[in-house]
Amino acid sequence: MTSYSPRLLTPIEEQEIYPYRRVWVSVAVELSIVFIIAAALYVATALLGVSLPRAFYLPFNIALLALPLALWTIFSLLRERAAAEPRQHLLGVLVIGGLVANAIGYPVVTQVFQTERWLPLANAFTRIVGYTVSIGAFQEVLKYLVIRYSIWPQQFRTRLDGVAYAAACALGYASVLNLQFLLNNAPEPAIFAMRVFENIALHTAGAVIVSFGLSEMRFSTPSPLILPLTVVFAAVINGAYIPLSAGLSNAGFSLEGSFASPVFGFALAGILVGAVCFLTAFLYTRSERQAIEAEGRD
Amino acid sequence: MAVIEVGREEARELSLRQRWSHYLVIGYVLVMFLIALNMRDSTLYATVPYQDVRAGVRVLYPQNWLLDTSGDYIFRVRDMTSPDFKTTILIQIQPISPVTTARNLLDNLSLSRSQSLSGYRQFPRQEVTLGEDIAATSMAYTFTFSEVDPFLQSVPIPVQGLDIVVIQREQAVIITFQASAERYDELFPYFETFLADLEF
Repeated sequence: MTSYSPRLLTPIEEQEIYPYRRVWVSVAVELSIVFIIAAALYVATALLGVSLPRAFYLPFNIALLALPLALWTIFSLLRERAAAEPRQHLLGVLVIGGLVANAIGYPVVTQVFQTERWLPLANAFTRIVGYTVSIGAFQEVLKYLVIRYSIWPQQFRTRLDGVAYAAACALGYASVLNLQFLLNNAPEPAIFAMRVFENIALHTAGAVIVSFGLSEMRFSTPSPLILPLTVVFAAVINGAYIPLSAGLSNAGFSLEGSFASPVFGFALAGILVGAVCFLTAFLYTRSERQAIEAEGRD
Repeated sequence: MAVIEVGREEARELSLRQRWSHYLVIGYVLVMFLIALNMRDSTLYATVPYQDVRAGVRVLYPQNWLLDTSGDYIFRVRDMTSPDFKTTILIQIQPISPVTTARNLLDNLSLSRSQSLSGYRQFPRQEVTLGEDIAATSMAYTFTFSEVDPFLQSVPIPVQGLDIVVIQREQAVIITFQASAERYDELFPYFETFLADLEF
């Protein structure tokens, strides 16, 4: 006789579908790949002694210039289009960011502020303050204005939309600075790769901080000071990085001989963008949780 | 026929809080911009006073420029940080006879410079006014500067100069500005500031 023992089946859990692209993953992957390639180039040229023929510098540098844009297209734009609820106008924000950098940001920094004429010889404190009030504040506000007048607040549907648009704007802005650096210099690919990463990391860090302020103003009712404070914080980071990086990278005086080490500035940029993204992600999570709790109470 | 518009979001009215937040950011960048320009100008155009009681000259010259009073001039300052030609401001005072004119002085200067400076060329002279009421004559010129040491392997540098001659109380005051031709326009504001503060 056949006996049937009762058997309980575990019900299939309904997996919640996240309809948006996971923006922190994209930012982390893109920055990590650029960082690894730049570090690998430095190791190959400075430590292993591999040298590229000079004729290949320009095509190699153009490839390095295009690398972050290609990575953004693959990991952000295409994945965004594959998401159930894609974010609109990401490419537009990137292009406007680049145009603003080329039309306003770069000319004002080089021709109006002319920081290379008066700041490099100043003391450390003056340099930090000088770069913060000039380049730092101006660049961060430009990126803020791009987002503010192109997609904010209509396109902000979740808090993390701010990060996606900020990263796009920062990449557009930084790409123009990288292009200007390439046009005005003939750098070795390893040096240029590090500069590419530094510019993108620095601008992403600043823009991500400001995006938190924009998201808070869109979804919460914080003090009106929160947005200006994020811009100030981003400007300070931007302004402090330039002299700190130069101080770490430039050769000092020594009886035993000394040489410039751009790798320290490069590493600082990596640490900075990592720390800023970690801190901002924490703040985003905290705000999200607070909003959910507030909804629950209501 | 029904028209369906896709992708257009409803325009949302900004709250007072959001508006104030935006105004504060704009205010912040304007203040920072002014502070940055002020810092730039106070560093770039910072000056140091110099007075020569015997010659009756009082000037404010750019900070960190090298002062030299030991030559056949009253006063000379040079920007030793210039990468090419050291930007120079110089004041000479020459006693003259009552019939000497600015033209005579400038002709003499041109003759002596054409013998000592390589590729010297002068441009048309102009009548100018220093301050509010001091009549003066200016003469622009160019020459090429080469390093004295031939082992430095440097390319000759085109230099642009400007002489301003003022005749007062039977003496001629010759104020000279010389800078690399490539950066002349960029550096000329130093000379304009210098002239504005000059007393003799």
